Amino acid sequence: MVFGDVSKQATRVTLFSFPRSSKAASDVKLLRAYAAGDSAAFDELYSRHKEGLFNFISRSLAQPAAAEEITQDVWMAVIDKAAEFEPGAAAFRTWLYRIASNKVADFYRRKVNQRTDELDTTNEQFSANQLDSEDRVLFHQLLAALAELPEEQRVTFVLQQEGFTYTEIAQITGVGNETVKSRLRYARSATQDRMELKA
Amino acid sequence: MSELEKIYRDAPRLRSPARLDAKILQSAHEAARVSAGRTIEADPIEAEKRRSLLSWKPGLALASVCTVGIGLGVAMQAGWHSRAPTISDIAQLETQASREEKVALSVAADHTFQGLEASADVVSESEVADTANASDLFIVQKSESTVAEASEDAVSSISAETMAATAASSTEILSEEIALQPSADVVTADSDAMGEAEGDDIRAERYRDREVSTKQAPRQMHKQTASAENTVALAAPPMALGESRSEKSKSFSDQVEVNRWLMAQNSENYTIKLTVAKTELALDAVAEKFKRRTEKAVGADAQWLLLHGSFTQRHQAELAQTVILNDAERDGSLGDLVPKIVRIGEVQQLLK
Repeated sequence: MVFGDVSKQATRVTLFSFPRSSKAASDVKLLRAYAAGDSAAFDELYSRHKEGLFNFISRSLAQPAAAEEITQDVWMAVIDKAAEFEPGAAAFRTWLYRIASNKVADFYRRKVNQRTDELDTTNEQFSANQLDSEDRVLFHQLLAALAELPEEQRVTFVLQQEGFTYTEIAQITGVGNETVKSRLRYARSATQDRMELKA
Repeated sequence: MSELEKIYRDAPRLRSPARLDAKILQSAHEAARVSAGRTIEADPIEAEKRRSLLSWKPGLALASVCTVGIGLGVAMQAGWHSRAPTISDIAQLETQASREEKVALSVAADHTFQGLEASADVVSESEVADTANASDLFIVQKSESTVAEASEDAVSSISAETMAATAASSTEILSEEIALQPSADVVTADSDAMGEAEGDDIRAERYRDREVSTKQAPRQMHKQTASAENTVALAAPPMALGESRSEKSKSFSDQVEVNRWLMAQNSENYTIKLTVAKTELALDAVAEKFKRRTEKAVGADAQWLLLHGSFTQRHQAELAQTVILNDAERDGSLGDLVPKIVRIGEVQQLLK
């Protein structure tokens, strides 16, 4: 055996399946376990990120039907590239959203000659029903204002709302920190103007 | 937080539709099964084989004991004595020994112990490499920890007599090694056996300052005897089975040898591959850094391809990959490198 300390080998062998311990495993561990054939690890990884990712894609597109398709594409890419993920380059979450951001950009490129400016709020309608009437109006105004933003500004804005830092957004979108700040400034300004909100 | 952001964040979160979740999870599970090279549910025989490998059973324990027996047998044939030293032997030895000899005695004891561990590495490596079989991998791993886990219920099927006998044999070997070679020659012989570059002087120096009282030697030996339970599976003569570490290091970086090995493999077999840019590390540095994780290094264009094993079944390669990953996670030795399973043919193609 080339794997070093023999006294721990038996224990390690039992780790072939992802350990269902109470201690949460990191995303990277889960991805590696999945790449090694443990599908339960993927279930855990998916449950951690499915909501955030779906919100990001939905609100970056404002088209629920397309959001589902793109969300599926993103996870398929994760499945395909699980073994290639290099944890040193980026955190798993950043990597995941970078894939999503690229898929969103691809989607806009494909639709460049088609009318995409119609805001489809079918999915948001359901979620907005949980708000009181005044908030619901504001939320619809926000969605409408976001839909009018250029794609890169909208993506940047939504990423920030999903809790990413400037640096992470820069990694995800493949631009510099200053560009991220600039896009956010424009996005906020344009949206506030359209919604007639104070800065 | 601006009003804009407050509106956004106060809005309820969207939920991905259940049908989408189901579709994605199903795809993930199918992909995992495909990558594993088999569908466990569809192959009950394979599933049973896997379960029996992963669970600790008396059969496996028996196999471990057999492995120990073979190791001890070879040790005896290699000229090791079976007579255990008596207390009077040790006392007489201590009385006669000069201080230098006592230091040597202590060093010899330590080296014997370490040498046995080192040789166990070799045994395991050669067994795994020769058979390229994941079942053996498990058996070897289990045998290494058999006695360490003997107190646990899992190995209750191993009789107390068997354990006592094997532990006693191991004790005899250790004792004889110490008792019958009490001079500094032992250090040399043992160092050679370990096949490590570190010189005798350095080793002797390391231990020189240690005060060895006349009581310490038997105590130390007794301690090792107690520890012998943990090393009983490792008791094989150094160099007797397989190559030494220095030879291994040489073969790791010997390009002709590695190429010959590679081309002799079935192209359909699987291996575990790590890729390092030649610009990052020279071959010697690669050997130094990765030889404990991989078996071979071979140059292809601008990269070193580090290879581990030649497995006929993908799941065997996956088992070995998992062990490498677990190990690397513990000591961070692989850095950002990810061991990948590839067909040997792909690597052969790169070198043609």
